[in-house]
Amino acid sequence: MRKIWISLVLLGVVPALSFYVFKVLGLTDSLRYVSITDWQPGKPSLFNIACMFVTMFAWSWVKGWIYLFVPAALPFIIGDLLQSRRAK
Amino acid sequence: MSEEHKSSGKSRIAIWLLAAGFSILLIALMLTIGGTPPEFPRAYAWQKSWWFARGIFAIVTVLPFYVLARLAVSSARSRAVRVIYMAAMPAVGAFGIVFKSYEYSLAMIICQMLIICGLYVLIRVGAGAGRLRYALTVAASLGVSFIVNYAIAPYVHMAKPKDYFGPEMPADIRQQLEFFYWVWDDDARMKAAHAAMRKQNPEWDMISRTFFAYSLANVALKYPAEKERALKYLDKVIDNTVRVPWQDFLLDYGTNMALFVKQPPSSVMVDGEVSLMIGLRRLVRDEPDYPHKELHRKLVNQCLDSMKAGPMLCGECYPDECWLWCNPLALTSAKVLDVLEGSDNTEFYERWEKMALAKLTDKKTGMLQSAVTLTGYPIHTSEGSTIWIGASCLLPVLPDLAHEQYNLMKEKLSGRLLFLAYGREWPKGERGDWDIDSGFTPFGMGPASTGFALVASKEMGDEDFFVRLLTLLNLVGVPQVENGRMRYLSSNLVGDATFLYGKTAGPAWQEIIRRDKERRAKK
Repeated sequence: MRKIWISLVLLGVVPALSFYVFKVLGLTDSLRYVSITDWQPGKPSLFNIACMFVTMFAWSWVKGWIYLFVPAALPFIIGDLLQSRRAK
Repeated sequence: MSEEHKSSGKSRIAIWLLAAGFSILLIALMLTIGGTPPEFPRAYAWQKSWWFARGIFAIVTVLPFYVLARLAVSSARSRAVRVIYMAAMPAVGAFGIVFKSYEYSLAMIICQMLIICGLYVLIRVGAGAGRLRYALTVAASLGVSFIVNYAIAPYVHMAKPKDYFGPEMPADIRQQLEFFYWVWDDDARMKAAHAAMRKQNPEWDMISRTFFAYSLANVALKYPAEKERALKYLDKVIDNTVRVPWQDFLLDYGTNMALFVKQPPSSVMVDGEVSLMIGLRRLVRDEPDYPHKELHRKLVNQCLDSMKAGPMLCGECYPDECWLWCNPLALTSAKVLDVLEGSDNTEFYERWEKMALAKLTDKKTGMLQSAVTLTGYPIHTSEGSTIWIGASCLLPVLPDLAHEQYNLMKEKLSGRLLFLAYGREWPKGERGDWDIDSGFTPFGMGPASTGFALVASKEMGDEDFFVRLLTLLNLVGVPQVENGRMRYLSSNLVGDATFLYGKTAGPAWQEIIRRDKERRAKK
């Protein structure tokens, strides 16, 4: 049970935090290529496009998926606490 | 009954439950993404039944899930079946295309790819009897979390109407203003920002300026504490913009002056937007020695002359192109001059309204066309990237037509996604070609249309639609604040200006309407 709630919490938090890591690294600048009218010959590069998708993916975690996975961990956190108490 | 048989029976039930659960999720996603039944053609009587059609989809999707789930447990054949199913999914997607619903087919393929991966992982994880119990518990917990989020999301994530329709300036408007002030504080920075816009589309250079200017006028009228600062930057924008040759704001195909039908050439697009900028500045404060009064009168009169000369009472924005964003906007600009200087173009406005209803609206939808030739031939039919602004600009001039058009656009050029709203580039069931105005339109959503719908909803005082649009924009726009300045990372300068204008719109139109009523009462 402990593995499950830790996995769910990490699944919710890590991608969300990665957005802020990308921001510090300047990779979020690639988001401007979401508007395809910003595309010029040679820009964006494949790296820019990959950054764009990964950053948007991480943003969707910040605004959405973190609220799915972290609350889903709650029953397992409670179950783990109860199990630990019974073991004592 | 042997233990093995019991276990196999429980696995079958669990797999059926999982398959049914995921199918319900898929149908729910399709219902929320897709919208209303009219997407399905009515060629046959049975297709007219909404529930029958959805039932067909349900059977088509549940059966493959069940087959895959059953065989996934038997790992020897699961890989082959998975490959076959992945290949079969485009066929299922084609089912949507047959029903002329490319949006559903694309949505369905994406949903199925996500669901099949999740289902496969769950089945493989749950292959052992003990682990299956955990897998089902995790799935149930995720399901409950989803339902709770679905129920509370509108209350937690949605923007609050009182922030934008109330008297206090919300934080994001302040932060967006600080960003634009920062851009305009440094000449080199401002030139670079606008050069970047001009490189993609010269019109965006102009609209970045004018929408920022309209926002400043609205801010000055609504928030007294910000008035002086807003006026300072409004004057900066106007002083800089009027020095730019008007041809520089046109796309390449409009720069050959000889091609304009009306000579000497002028563009109602540029004259209207720039004159409205000056007019709104004068609406906020009209000093006797304000330097751009003559230019204001000249540009408004140029617009009116151009429109009155046209057979459809529309003026050219480009050679033999009359856009129904620019011409309604020019009418509003003329109205501003009316209330400032006492002129009266009511008779022309009424003639324009009759012409619009007779010749400038699409016969099928009743909405304004996006662009017509001088003789009224449609060049672009109703597009969200154009007519939301056209409708909102009609409000101070022809309020009945404005409301009628706005209501039609809400019905045909908008959609709902869960608790969010978006603008469509084309009416439901129709599809055009992507261009520089529309941008990319996934699932029929138009990014430009959504931004302009925000402006229109705010002008019309439609709080519910406004907050749903704004919440979507705040989700996909990726707003970020740095040093107190807000930008939308997946947008650009013109997008940021549009969002700011959308959030601040309203006071200028209300001021025009109020002053017009006052002067009519005095007569």
